Amino acid sequence: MISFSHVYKTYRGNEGRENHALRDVTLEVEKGEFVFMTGPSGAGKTTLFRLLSAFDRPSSGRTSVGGYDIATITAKELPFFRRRIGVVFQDFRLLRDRTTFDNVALPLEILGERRANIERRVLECLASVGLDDKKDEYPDQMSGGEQQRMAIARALVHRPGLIIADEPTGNLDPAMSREVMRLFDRANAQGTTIFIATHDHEMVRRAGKRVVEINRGQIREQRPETSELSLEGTWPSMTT
Amino acid sequence: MAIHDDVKSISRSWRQHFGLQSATVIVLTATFSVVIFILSTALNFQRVLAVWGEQVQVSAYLEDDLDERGIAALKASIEQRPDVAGVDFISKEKAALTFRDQMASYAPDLMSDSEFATPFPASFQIRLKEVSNETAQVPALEKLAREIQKTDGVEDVSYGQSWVRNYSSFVGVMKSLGLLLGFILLVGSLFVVGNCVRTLVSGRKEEIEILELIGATSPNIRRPYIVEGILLASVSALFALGLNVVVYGWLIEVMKRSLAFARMAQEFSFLSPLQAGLVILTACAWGAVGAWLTVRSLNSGWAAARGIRA
Repeated sequence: MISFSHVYKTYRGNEGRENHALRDVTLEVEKGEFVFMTGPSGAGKTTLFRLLSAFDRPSSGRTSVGGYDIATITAKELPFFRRRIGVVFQDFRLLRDRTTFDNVALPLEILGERRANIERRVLECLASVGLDDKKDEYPDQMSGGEQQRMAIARALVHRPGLIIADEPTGNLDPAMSREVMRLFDRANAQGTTIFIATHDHEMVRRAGKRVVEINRGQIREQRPETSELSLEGTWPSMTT
Repeated sequence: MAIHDDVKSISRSWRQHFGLQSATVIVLTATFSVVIFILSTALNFQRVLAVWGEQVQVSAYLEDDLDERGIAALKASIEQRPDVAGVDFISKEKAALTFRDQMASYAPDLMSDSEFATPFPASFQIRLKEVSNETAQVPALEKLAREIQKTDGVEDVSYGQSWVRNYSSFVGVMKSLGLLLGFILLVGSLFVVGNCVRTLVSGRKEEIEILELIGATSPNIRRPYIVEGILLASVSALFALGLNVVVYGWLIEVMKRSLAFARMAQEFSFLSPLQAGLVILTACAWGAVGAWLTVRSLNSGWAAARGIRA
């Protein structure tokens, strides 16, 4: 699903000095895996996140995501690649002038789904993140946590093969964080590959999933952690 | 994304940028009004020229000493010409009578003047066959007049040449000026639509980025702006047509009152429904072109990562 091989991402500074945001990164993530990426601020998490979601190209090395080579992907292929992934942004990237329903419906509208299908899927998704009673509200009328869940619902609604999330629980309290992680876990159980960048070591430790640690642009460690959180059983819908 | 989404997107845009959209509609309405006025006036002048051309006759004044046999022979020879539709003989007496009738209201004493002698020679009124277009009418008249002038028994020929030629030149100049002005205004209207769309794009920069990030293709992203350009132009064209209907109605009334002698009012009319429909379709195409020129390089798929060019 994800294959990075000797990937470098280099930015040139004002004085012409090269700054390697990523150095010689090699990473393999199989289809259906659940991976956390952790690391301190400035370690290269965001750069890796941008490459994974094809918001940027690598300076060198091979980067393949879902069968697309990010280094050579064309402008015409790009939208079709992005339709196959779901991205949760740290800053949500919600449309302020659209309701919760309309924001979550966007990926399905772009896919050209039928109206009835869109309504059914969006309402299902909103119910699963506990926002079914907020479907007609606008992002600015909602709390940070609700906006976060709206962004997650938008990433999940079109059932992508890969979900990439940047600090998806950054604005949530511990209880809500656990609920959101359950959502990701449920998507993962249905075969979706999950890749989450996070600072939340506690959440990572509790989830017991594979962890990729990045520091100074290099992947330092890849290790599975023991789960302390039971993700089995039924999925209660969340409430605020 | 379907038409339903375009409609939602446009209604959002109108709610958010009502002032800008209204200003654009006003400027476009003014521009299209002038273009439509020029167009319909040019069509009307052309129609008047055609009607007047049809009414123009060649008068061949006969020599005084031509006898009846000579007159009949000359009439037959003119009637045989392929460009002649008919020939009417006007005797000296009939010419005098017609003159007196026409002058009756201006010089009533003339009617009762027993000493009024006819100053007019006998003549033939020669009607031309219809010429396919009005620009060919003047040369055809001139050719016929030249040839008849050379005929024995014809003293002089007249066909209101200077009036017809001047009017034809006037219409030609008006047409050229109209075309030039219309072209300038239409090019200007492209920029008006383009600038409006550019401002809308700037206001919706974030939305475009987000749409790109979740997989909207370039046509998906550009289409609402192009539809918006079409909408702005078509609404403006409708207003401009309405405005012109009012102005033309007033103008025709003025012509009926003040220029009755020229008999122009009955030939003047506004665009036909088909022509008005064509104007709206052209405006739609124009709006689409103006918007497309602005949004054609709007997004490349990487815009969200680099900051879009708007």
